[in-house]
Amino acid sequence: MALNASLRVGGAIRRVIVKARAVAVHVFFERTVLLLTILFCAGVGATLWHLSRLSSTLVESGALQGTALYSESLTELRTFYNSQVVERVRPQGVVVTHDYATRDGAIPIPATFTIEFGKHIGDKSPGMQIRLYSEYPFPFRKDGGAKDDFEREALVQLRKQPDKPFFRFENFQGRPSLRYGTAVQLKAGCVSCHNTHPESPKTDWKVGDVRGVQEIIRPLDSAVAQTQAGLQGTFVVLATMGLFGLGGLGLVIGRMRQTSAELEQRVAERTAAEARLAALHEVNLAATSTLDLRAVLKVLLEKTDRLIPFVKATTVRLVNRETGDLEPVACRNLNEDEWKAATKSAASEGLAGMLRDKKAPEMVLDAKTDPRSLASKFLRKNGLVSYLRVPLMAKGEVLGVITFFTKEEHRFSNEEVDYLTALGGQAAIAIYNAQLYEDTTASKGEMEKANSSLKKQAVELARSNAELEQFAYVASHDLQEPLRMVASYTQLLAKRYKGRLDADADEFIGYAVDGVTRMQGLIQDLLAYSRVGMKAKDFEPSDCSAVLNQALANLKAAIEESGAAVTSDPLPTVMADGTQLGQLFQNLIGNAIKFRNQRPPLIHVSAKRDGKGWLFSIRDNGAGFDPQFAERIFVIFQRLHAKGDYPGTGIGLAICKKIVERHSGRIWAKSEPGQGSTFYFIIPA
Amino acid sequence: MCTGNGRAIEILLVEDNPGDVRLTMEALKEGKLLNNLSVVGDGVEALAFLRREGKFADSVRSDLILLDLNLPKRNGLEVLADIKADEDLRRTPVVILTTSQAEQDIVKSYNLYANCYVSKPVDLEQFMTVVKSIEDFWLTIVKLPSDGKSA
Repeated sequence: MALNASLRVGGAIRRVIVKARAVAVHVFFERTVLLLTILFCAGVGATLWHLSRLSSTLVESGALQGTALYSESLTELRTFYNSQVVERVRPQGVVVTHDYATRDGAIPIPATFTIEFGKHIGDKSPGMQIRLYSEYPFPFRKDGGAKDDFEREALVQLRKQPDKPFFRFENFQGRPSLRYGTAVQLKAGCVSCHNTHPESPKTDWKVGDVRGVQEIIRPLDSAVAQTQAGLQGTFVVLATMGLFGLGGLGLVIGRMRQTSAELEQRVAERTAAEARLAALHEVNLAATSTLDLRAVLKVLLEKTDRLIPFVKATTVRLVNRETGDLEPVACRNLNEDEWKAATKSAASEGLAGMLRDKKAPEMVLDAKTDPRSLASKFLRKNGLVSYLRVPLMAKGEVLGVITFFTKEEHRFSNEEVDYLTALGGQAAIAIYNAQLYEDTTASKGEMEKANSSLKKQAVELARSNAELEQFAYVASHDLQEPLRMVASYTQLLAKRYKGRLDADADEFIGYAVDGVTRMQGLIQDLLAYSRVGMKAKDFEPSDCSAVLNQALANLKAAIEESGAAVTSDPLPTVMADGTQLGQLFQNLIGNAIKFRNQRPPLIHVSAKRDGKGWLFSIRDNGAGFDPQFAERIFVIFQRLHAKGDYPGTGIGLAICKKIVERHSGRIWAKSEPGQGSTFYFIIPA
Repeated sequence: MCTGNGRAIEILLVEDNPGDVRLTMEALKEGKLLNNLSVVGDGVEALAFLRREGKFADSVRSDLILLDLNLPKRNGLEVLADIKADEDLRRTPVVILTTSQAEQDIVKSYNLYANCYVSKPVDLEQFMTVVKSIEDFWLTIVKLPSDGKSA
């Protein structure tokens, strides 16, 4: 129990100390000038008091010393007068008496001498008095006894201790004075005289007896006045200095206070600005760290919630890029479903238009009563009072709106509006990027889809082409065998039985042979055509002059028979399948010979550089053709002439086209009937 | 007509298509030489015939072999390889007579020491001419070892 109590007391004391310290610190920091003034006054007071004490002590000790010296001098003077004057002149009959002034030739007795001398001095220095008194005064002395308490005490004290002066500072006749008494002791020269003097009240004096007291009264008022004047001066000086000092100090402190306050304010401003910048930066970093719109919004709202304490709820609505409506997208610290329902029921289309026009932040102080606020019931329910609506702008376009709500009435300062607008700007950029990314991702996906379907189609096409070629090859190849049988035996039939059956049989057999022969030709050509794809070799540098010569060699018989003249410019070396290139030349030159006029064919082959490839031309002076058929002549089995005029199935130019196309080139022809033809083809270099 | 020792020329036709067999026979009929044409329908029979094995134990020795490439059981190229690996048979001229015009078949045949390679012409007259030319060339123009045996 006692322990508890002592603990309680201890605790209380500690609390008091702590409180006192707090108060002291508070006073020290808040009321510095006042405190310093008090301390200074106390200091000045103490100084003055000390000085005053010191000076009075000085005055007293000075007075004491001076008076003691004076008293001693007086004593010495009396002794000297007694021994050197009185004792020397008395034997010559000189009268020594107290009333020497009235008797001729008389001199004063030492005591009188002293008294008179004192009077003399007193006249010179006003107030100074010398008194001699005793319990046994001579009757002729009217004031020879003790007159007041000091004198009585002095007589008693000095009798007890003759060697120690008796003094006291006291008011004497209304003036502060030093009263300094010393014992007057009888010396050898004095005793006889005092014992023999007819009027002596006592005649048994011995040497060393205290005859009386010699007192010097020294007024101190002038010294005190001087000291006080000095003190006053000192006080004035100190006070003046103090006032100036305090004033200066006050100014300095005031100035320092002001500077410090300014500094503090600036630091606070800077800190706040930095915090805001850091928050902006953080929002920026977070929002741009992802390109997913949902994630951007989530991060944005989270950061806003964390970094801007007075904002209690935030909502984001975005403009639907298809309908142009403002749609609720994300919110923080609100029930999302309720919010969306409330926002949808409000006329948000109008708001979208309004925002587009305004493009400036809008503050509403009391959302519950402001006509501009939508869904006020919802806001009331959630205790949202003020809000700031900032349009989300990117590239001069309003993407949507972000709204910052507070739960108490809050007038958004210019700074806050600027800051939240900046935040909105950053959010808008992040949203814009995310939307852009969504768009590009979507279109990229579509493109990829289209690409892959194209690729699939190409693969499919290549496969079906290859299949077709394979089919054509196999069909024509395998068709050959049975066809050969049909042909051979119809021919054998024709050979063995011509004229042995009836005329109809001969005619029928003739048609069968003719049909089979044509079919054989077609199949041969088809085989040749399909072989262009099937029997392809890799491309290699091919010297076109050599290729041309080989083709001409193959055509030797036709050239000789027709009397054709084939000329050529120097031809380049190209990357090609040499065999097919030879077939190309052979077919084209063969055609030129075949479709000739009556005159001998003149055929010229040339080549020139054309962009990235070589443009070849084979010009003849033959029959030519109607330009409207310039395309058709390259189609398989297309013929422009009756069989009787020119033989052939119409495969040659189709094969030429296929060869050129296999070399990624292009073939075409220009002609006029009767004017000859020129065939062109381009082979990439 | 007959060879120097008066016997008819023995020709072996290895061909599975009866139409072609008949055509060849017709062509040979029109030829100048007296010939005996033996026909087998697949590669296995061809080798048995040449080696006088099994049912062909009594077969005569062939002076010329007309070999189709596209044969059942054992194809023409395999038969050709076997003939050219056989010391008794390798000197007998083997004429590849086929519809194939494939470069690959031509090269492979000569690599296996075919004596010549002839594509069957589509036209009857040409076919006849070709067969007669073969007969003419190999059996009258060319000198062959007399007995067909190795020296």
